Amino acid sequence: MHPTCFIAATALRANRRSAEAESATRTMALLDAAVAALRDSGDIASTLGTLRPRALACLDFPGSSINGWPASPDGRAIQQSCRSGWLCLYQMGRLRSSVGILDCGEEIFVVWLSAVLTGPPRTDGFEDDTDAALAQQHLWDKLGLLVDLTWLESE
Amino acid sequence: MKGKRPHAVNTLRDEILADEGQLSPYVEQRLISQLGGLIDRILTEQHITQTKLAEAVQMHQPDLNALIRGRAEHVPTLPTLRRLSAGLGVAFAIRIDPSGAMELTEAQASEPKQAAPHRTFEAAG
Repeated sequence: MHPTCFIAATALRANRRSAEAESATRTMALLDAAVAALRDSGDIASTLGTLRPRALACLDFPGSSINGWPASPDGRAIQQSCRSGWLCLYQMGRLRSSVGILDCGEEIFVVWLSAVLTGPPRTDGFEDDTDAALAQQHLWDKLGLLVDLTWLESE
Repeated sequence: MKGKRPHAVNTLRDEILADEGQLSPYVEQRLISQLGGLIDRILTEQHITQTKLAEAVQMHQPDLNALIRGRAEHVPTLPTLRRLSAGLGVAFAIRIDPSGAMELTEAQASEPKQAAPHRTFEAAG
């Protein structure tokens, strides 16, 4: 979990009985369900397909392109061993989270990277059509902070 | 010697699990996130419509749809879970750990595959 995301989630839980606190709780549950499912399958793509709510958007990227992880022991281990990764956007209530899922061979890491509040979402998790259209772009912006996007030029 | 700082995600989870008011949404969402995907997969495999399943299990179609999308507020009651099992022709099991963790599995699933260990991760130390 990214430290700033921890701060955000903690702030959302300030009023324990609020809808925002429950959204943070449900997001935590979704990510824990993802960890449990990945433990059983090891296949990130198919596992993400079995979890609900589905991600609003997902991007996959080569592990070798990671350059933005903080210099913690885990971060260094990821930079050295990541084979591939996914960046996904999830919506739970009004809480939108970006989540990194990183296949490092011997381990798969599920990282809650950011949490922001949106307006009330539709049943599909987006605020409106504009929000839906911009979701992928939002993800690319986030990805640009974490990985070296020059690998795109070779595609 | 300086001890290892607990991961923030573990701290947050511990706080949630210690809070009776938040424990219920956590546990229910754990199951709903798995159950929704399971129902969706079986409906697709067996070419069953949500409307038809809703009738068979005596659920309102919008409630079933919310469950399938993982956006239901509550886990179905035990009688409804029993009817879902019958309607889908699938046995599933709910495992409850003393820690508060709950996990749903298809009961007739084959032996679990050997896979890499997993854990949640704190991005910065």
